[in-house]
Amino acid sequence: MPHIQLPEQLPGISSAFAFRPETAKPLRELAHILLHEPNSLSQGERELIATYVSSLNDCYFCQTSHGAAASCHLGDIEVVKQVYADVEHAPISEKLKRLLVIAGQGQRGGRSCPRARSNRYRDSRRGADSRRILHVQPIR
Amino acid sequence: MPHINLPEGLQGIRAAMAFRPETAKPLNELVEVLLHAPNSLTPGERELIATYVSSLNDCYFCQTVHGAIAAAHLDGDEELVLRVKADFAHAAISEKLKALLVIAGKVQKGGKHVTTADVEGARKAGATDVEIHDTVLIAAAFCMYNRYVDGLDTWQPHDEELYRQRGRKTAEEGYVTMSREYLPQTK
Repeated sequence: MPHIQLPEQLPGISSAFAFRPETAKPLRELAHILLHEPNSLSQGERELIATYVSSLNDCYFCQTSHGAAASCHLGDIEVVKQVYADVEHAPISEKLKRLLVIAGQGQRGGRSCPRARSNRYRDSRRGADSRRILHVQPIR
Repeated sequence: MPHINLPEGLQGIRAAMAFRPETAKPLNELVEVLLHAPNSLTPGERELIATYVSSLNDCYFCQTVHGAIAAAHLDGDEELVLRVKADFAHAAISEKLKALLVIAGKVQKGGKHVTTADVEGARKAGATDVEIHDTVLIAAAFCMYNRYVDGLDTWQPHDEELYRQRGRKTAEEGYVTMSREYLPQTK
């Protein structure tokens, strides 16, 4: 049972989209640009990135629907399963492996990327719980 | 130094949006509907939700700029914004907003953390289904915006007056109008 009264018979995000078309419009447009429109990364590669992140987030609907789209583009369901299980040994390009590493780090948090933990951030956060930093407090 | 070659002189998400205006358009339209368009939750309440989630995600740019926008909507009450980030249970906000912040905090940990009891608590405090929907989507969308801003290691100067001024202007004009300041103009 969904937490709120969503339209019935529509799986996953489709029911939330039908419930609130105003937010559905930019969300659909964003997904369309990111995953479907022409790009130097193929549609299959981009769907694999979306599928991989959805699997890290343990979202059944998203990983299954985007996994199906990826396998459709790639003509191969096995590669999708291998990406889930073990990116390093999946039959994909080195470039896509490195991009999946970045996507996985982004899934954990934007600052997981090693270089983002530069001195600049450490200095700004030293001695302070950053959640307590008043948004107007000067950082010394 | 940003991880990729972003336009210089633009802070936080602005640089990433100017780098890729195609994705900036729906991202700005989404935040416009969620935070600025008319809604039964006030813009100040919705900005507080966005600020709180951004602080949980430890994103300096987003929590600072949305904190400033929230304060601008709330008669300049910067202390209230700080209190919501540090301890919203004891902040001078409605019980309904407190219940929605509980849900937003759960979404930040992961969608499956939201419980039926959390949702019932929000309903009991007077939240509608659309308000619960929008709270979940604000929280989810800000997990995306926060990761976008920090995942590219964007430039985030610590300049309180800059954020305060921009907060006032964004509170007045909204996100899509403000985006004309930094997005390359197309004919």
